[in-house]
Amino acid sequence: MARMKFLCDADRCIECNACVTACKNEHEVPWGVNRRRVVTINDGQPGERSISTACMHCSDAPCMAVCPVDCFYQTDEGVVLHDKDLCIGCGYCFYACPFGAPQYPQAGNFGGRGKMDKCTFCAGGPKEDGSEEEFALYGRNRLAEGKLPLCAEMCSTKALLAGDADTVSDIYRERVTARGFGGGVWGWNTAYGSDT
Amino acid sequence: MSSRPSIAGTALDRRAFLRNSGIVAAGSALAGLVPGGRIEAADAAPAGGGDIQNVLSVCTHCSVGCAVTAEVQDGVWIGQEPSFDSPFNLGAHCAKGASVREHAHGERRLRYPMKLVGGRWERLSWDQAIDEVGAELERIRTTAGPDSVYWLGSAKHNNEQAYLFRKFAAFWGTNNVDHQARICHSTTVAGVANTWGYGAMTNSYNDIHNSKSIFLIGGNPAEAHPVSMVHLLKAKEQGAPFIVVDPRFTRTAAHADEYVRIRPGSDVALVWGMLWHLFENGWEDQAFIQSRVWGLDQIREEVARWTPTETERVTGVPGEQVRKITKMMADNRPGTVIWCMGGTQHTTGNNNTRAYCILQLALGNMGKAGGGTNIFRGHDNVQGATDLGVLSHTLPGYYGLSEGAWKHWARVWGVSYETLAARFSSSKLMQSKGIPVSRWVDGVLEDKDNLDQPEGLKAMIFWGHAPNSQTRLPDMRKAMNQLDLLVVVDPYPTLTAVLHERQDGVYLLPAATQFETYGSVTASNRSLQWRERVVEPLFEAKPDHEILYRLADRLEIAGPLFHNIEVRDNEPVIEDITREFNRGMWTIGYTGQTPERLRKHMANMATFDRTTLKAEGGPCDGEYFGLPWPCWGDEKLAHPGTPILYDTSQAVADGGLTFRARFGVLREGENLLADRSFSKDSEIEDGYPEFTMAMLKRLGWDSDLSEQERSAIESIAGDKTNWKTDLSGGIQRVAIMHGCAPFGNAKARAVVWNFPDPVPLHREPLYTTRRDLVSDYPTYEDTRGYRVPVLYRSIQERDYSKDFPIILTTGRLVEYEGGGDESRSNPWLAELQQEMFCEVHPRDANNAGFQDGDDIWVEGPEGGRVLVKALVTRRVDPGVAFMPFHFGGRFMGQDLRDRYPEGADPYVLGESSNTVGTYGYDSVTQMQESKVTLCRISAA
Amino acid sequence: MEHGIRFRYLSTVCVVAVVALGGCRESEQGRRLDTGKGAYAGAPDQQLSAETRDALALRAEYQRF
Repeated sequence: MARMKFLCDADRCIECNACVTACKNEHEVPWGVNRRRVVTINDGQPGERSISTACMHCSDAPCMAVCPVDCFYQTDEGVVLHDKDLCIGCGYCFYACPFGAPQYPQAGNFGGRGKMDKCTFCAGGPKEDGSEEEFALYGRNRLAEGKLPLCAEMCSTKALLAGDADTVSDIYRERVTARGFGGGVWGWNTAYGSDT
Repeated sequence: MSSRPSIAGTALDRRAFLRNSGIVAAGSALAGLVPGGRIEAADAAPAGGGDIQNVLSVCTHCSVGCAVTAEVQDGVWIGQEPSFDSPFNLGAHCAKGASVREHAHGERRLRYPMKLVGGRWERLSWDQAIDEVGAELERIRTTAGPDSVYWLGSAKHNNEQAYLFRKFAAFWGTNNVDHQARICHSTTVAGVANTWGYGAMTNSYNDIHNSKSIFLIGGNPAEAHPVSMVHLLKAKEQGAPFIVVDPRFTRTAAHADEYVRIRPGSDVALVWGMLWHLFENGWEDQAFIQSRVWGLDQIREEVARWTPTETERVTGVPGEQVRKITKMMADNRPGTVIWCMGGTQHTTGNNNTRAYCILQLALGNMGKAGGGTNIFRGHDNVQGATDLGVLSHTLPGYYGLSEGAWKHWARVWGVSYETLAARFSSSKLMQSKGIPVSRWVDGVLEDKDNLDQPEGLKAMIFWGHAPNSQTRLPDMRKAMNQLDLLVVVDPYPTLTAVLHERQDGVYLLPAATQFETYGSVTASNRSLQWRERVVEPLFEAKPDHEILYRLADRLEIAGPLFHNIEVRDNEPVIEDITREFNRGMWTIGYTGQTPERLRKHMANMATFDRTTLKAEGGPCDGEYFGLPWPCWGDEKLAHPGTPILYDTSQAVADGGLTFRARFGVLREGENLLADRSFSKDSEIEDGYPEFTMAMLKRLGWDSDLSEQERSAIESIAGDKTNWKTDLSGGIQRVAIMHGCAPFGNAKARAVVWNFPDPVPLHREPLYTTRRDLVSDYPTYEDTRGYRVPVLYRSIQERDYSKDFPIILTTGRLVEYEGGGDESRSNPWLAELQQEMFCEVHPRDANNAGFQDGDDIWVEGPEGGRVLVKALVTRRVDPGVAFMPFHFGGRFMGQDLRDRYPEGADPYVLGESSNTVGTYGYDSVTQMQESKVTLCRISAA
Repeated sequence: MEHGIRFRYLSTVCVVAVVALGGCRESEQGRRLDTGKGAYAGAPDQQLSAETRDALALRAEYQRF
């Protein structure tokens, strides 16, 4: 199996925020904590495009590299997780993250006192899979149930894809081929020119 | 599309922990607050947790009909999973749909019956509440007559509740009954039905996959129907040009191939401008028009004046762009035309909807896969509530209010016509349209001599309706203050609970949501789905049909009302209600969708094709998902439903259809019936009128009737019995057996001679900045309709544009629905939109001296004003402002939060756009004008 | 006036001391701080079974549309 990845097809994303509320729903994420967000550029003008972002589960994750207490680990599937018992909430990963993924809740069921919280790719954390303790600290563990992140599974237009990167890229490639127009992935036009 | 795998044996015993986690804890904490509340069941469950059950329901927000898969354990809704098997949503949801499990918390729900006493909310028992409300209703009935009580129903009812609600009003003795359809798509229903027979979406969301072009006008599905976008974008990706016409550069427009910025309220002008190019270049479908369209020559005469120059003068759309989009539509057939509130909510709404239909007729796009008028209805069951007649101008099934219509339903209900007539003030009032919801305010405020009923309205029953979706809120506040009785039946208090300034005479009755009951619901594409009950009603809430029963019992009409319907422990049996309307809804084929068939469809969703909606193999083989109406005949006929209206390439027995023969057979000496066009396998190879017993006899087909059918027909009206009134279904069965459509085979009519504008005309809005166009395109003369005066010219003739120079339009946000009382009470949604705002162009903001994020006053010409945040954006043109209509709880700068019952105030409050919304009603349906008015904007 | 300065000095020292010693609580003892790229120091997590991985691979196909 390859790594688990997210991919957001900006030609499909309509900024409906289903991914955001699906995440809230699945993990009972408290008000003020956003593991996932939809970002829109050129809002209200030609060229307006949106993409949904969360922790991208980098293969060589900067958060892991900079963490002073080494609380991060990466699962065999490439999901970047952390141990909240170890985390000191220093915010160093916040500096390092290219996506602004880390969150620092003040209270609630995501481990109080400002410890870092972020998207887990619905894979819980270093507690017994499916345990109450895991849910309280990290949210549900869908991967252990054989299910993929709910944000992608419920995406209104199937813009947000999640899963084995090989499958995700296969789905996306098939779409781009059928469309006959450029890639909706972020940065495609910059990388390949607007008429590819 | 690749086949979808099934997931076998996942590794983990799922979510055993949840019993003791936050959700259940919240549940039991709440249960502690409400002694006797049913939620205790969850708390009382044995430790260790029961099995997790998947319960299938349907989202209660919009009309796409997204299936909701709820995970329920020990009576608690613990999880929501994607419904991948649903052909409508393929597992997808929008922000609202993905958050419906918030029901498990329900923290801002109305918990028990309450009444306002000396300005304070007091708790009541259900018995006491029903008794007090019932007594007051009886007093009003005795002193002012049954028409002084207004029964305002809801598109949030399921079909059974909607039908029961309309029937209840009939037994109360009034036609003052209505619901949100009046202010959402009434102009569509009237305009479209009067063009070709039925006033509904002709194809389906799924069928848009087949479209070669998409013309979307006055709609913003990316926010209002987000899951429909998966189907639209699929068509776009397959090469269909996607044209979006809107005054605002919406999130939908951001995905368009061609965005057309139109001046608000100039739709007819744009469509005629397009037809000008179509006719000029000979791009119309001559053969289709010849065989299936009447009256197009009269349209040509009007279109001739809409030259590119004149079109541009009125619409603001560059002439070259009009030609370009017309050519796109002409070159890419079949294309679909889609519209929503941007087209319907105008004084000329019915003209707009008919113009869109005529565009499709001229292009020959009707009755075809990929074509059609795909009208996106609003609420989850607004189609069903419309079909089942929660309307002031008709009984269920669009039978109207004539004596014949009443007699038909009296037969179905098992009561005499005289019994019903005795409940009304007069047979004249029984057969005349009631006051529509858009005008109830005038039913209170107008002098009674100015009303076509004996007394004004004294009591309002808001049963699942948010007042802030209606214009003229300052007037509404006055009307609310003046009533004798104001009742809210709703899961939430709604703005109604706080908008008035009363000290007493207000009751709040907590209704269950559709996840707390079960029954059928009709999606926009006319498919019926069956919801199962996910959880028991929270707190002391009760389902609508139970509340109706209790009230009927108190008013002593329960006996005849529930003649055919079993009542168990005060709750009428839903399936009995379905079966009763199955026995009466012949007009639109709500007769074949029995509870059993619908449940079978839900259980076998995965077997239906995602484009055609047809089951291939499996228990529903050959049927279309949800048996889209018309599903002709009774259950025994096993009709598969009609996926595409007026599609002659299929036999009627297989879901094909012709245009309906609804308007006679001759007009001005011309044949109105179809000309050598007929549906597949039709034994009559030409047009024909609607079927009656007499017609069957003339054709010699009456011998195909069974003895039972024949005697039923004889007992109804003999030879005059027709396909609509034959309760045996024999006439429909025999017509279909011979390949014919029971409702006849006619041409669509481009000219609706019984409407104020037979040929749709452009008319300037009542409040317009374009005074130069008023003389060329004036509005109507003042008139009367639906028991109330209707003003046009007397408003338009005064120039408000100097003091109010900016056009104000309104619309939706993805996070909220309708009046927003439910969605603003859902923290997962409320967090995403915490401020009411007004979109203003940078030029207007700079001229008025405010910046993005500033507080501003938006003031309307009728005195309404709102204090909101400025959102400075190029999404709107200079001179145009936009506000969403979902907010409530602030009124002209005043915060109303402390007026809500404690703990039932929504998380987010805000000014209602309709506080600024002004007068203006459609000339046929009394639809409110909420898309064009004027305002002035200043820094606060 | 000199008295005032001394008082301020002393109170600052006290505040600093309280804050600094706050980091000496038992739960904070022995925590390894490392600015280099290091090895995970937290509790071990369970691995997914082969069966679950297969289920996940199949499940991704639902998104194909």
